[in-house]
Amino acid sequence: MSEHPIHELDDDVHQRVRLGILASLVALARADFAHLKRELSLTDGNLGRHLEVLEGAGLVRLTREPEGQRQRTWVSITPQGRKALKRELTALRRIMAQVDESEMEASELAGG
Amino acid sequence: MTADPLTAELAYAEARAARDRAVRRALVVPLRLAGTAELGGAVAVLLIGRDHLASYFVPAYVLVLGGGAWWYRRYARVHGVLLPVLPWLLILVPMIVCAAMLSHLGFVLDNELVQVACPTLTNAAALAAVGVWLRSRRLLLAATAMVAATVVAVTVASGDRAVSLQLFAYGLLLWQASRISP
Repeated sequence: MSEHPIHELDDDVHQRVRLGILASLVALARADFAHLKRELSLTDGNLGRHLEVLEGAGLVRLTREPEGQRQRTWVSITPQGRKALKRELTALRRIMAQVDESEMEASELAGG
Repeated sequence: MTADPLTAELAYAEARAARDRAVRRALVVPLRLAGTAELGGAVAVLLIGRDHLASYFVPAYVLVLGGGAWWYRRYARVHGVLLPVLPWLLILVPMIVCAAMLSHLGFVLDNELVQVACPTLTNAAALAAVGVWLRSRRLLLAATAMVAATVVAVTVASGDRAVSLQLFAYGLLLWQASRISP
């Protein structure tokens, strides 16, 4: 018997915000901290914590570049991050495919 | 906190939609530069002839790429999103090479239809490739309209005039396609 696809989900990737960060970065060369914060409606602290997790797992790369008086933080997805996102999406689609719509309707009817 | 699969799928879809919007916004100027190059080509072909069109299009597309790269850098400074230039190179370089090869093939075969229609159709193929890359319905429609424009042009005109008509239509279609929308 094959293993259930939930075992293919990676906790570093699967978290809602981290999945959003990786999805935002995948077609870009890089994006800055402010763009991700705005697009994902996050606070500085929240985004920073999730980026630390992703950087620690080698899924994103952070680079700081001076711009005028301040530093600008750029984030890019690594090849490892792309592979992890692809694996995650494959697992998610396998899980979703197992949810049969007619079964859902039947369970709703049974539940009243 | 981890998300359930449905929430994760939705989060992914939202993030992807936002990213696609940013990519399309950044694409406006490169598409308009390419459109302008095509409109210039419509004039150039009447002046230098279709057999020498590479001497116009190679420097024109180098300028399009240079201008596009400059715009991407500027867009990144202002909006915090830097797009990759590599896909443009992967699309434009084969397009120019294929167009030159098809033009030469038409010359060798002494077949005017191949000479007049095929090199320009590589533009449509390149735009379709960009449309697939960016999942843009508008770009795919523009690529289809380019093919239709070629059919009309080779029906109503011949030689350099047919090429000029196609390039003029392509230029207008690229400008139209540069409007921000899926």
